[in-house]
Amino acid sequence: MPRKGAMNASPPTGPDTRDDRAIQCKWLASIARSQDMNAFEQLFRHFSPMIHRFMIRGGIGSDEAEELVQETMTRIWINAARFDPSLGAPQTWIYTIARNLRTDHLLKYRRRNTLPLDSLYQTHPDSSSQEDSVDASLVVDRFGKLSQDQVAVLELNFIAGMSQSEISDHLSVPLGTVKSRTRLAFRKLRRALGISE
Amino acid sequence: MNVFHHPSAETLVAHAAGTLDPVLMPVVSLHLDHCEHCSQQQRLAAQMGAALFAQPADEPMPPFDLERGLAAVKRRIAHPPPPAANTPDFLGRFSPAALQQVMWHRVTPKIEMFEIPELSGGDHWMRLFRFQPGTRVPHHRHAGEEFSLVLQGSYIEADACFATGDFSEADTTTRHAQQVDSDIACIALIATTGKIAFDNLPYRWASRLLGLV
Repeated sequence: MPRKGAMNASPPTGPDTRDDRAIQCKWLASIARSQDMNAFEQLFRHFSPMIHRFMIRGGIGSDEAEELVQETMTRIWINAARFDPSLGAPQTWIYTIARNLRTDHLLKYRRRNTLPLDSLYQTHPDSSSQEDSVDASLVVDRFGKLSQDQVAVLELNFIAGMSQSEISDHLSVPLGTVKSRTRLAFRKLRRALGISE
Repeated sequence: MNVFHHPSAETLVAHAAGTLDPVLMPVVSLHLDHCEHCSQQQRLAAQMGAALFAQPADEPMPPFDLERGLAAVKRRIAHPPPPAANTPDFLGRFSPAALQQVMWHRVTPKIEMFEIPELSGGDHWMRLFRFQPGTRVPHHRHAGEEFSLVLQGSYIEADACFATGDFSEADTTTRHAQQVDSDIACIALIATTGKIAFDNLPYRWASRLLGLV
């Protein structure tokens, strides 16, 4: 059975299971097929608190975070037909949309000469989110195999949106240490998930 | 395609997290197009990010008004902005067909260059280089990171051969030199986040005069 948080307005409390994923795929398919507002509301109630938290933890101000939640959810509505349920988990797809919007926002704020992140990823749009081989809930379970230092580096990278140099400054450890913690964490996770290197 | 030189695990994780410098990002993206193995690793890293994305925060979060947010998105959907232009096919500029159209700028009799203006500025730059067979790039160091990807031909670095699809990353601890060993010109996409310093003093001056560093 899917967890309760996936089905009602309660904020989600953890990573999605295979059952959650099946329901979310149906919501996206229904939005793509018939612009189903009820399905979109369900998706919004499930994902928008996650997206909001992701923006805030990445150092975005509260008002701008709300704007970026709205932009992310609007893109999901517009691009629902581009999501292929046979190839990827909605959570990964939505994470990549939010990640790109957050990074674009931060780069614009820093006045960096760049292009939209979407265009710097892959020649096949959204393919970075395809072919998920394991459940997010399983990945989180396997984080238990990592040391606290390794989890901290991954969280700062993925959630706080810090580069490895920024993590090095933030933790007051050499850049090489940040890199080796990341490398070891990734290797341990692959092994724990039974994925070859 | 046989690809033998790959980005490090930490670079693939940073790519999936969106935290690589934007000038370095496309070099990894193009390698992923050549390398299914790294592409799978990067997808796993993105799944790690998605799993962390769903984790509750330990620290208190400012309130988020679901109903107000939903109402705002419904208004956006009801009155959508004019359709934006498609995402520019930036990476398509580096396809074999597109490389035939590059307007090369000759730097030396054996080296031509084309700078990618959208991502270049200050000490950060992205450039295509076309090196004629036999070209030698003497020993040099970097003040930042350098990612490079071979798009045509091949070169030798420290007894290792880098051919089409092969990726190389260097940082402030790296000192290296290259020599083109293919019969055809070697084309490489190179991005860097810091100045380059050649060991050889005359080459250092010449490269500054030629606008290479």
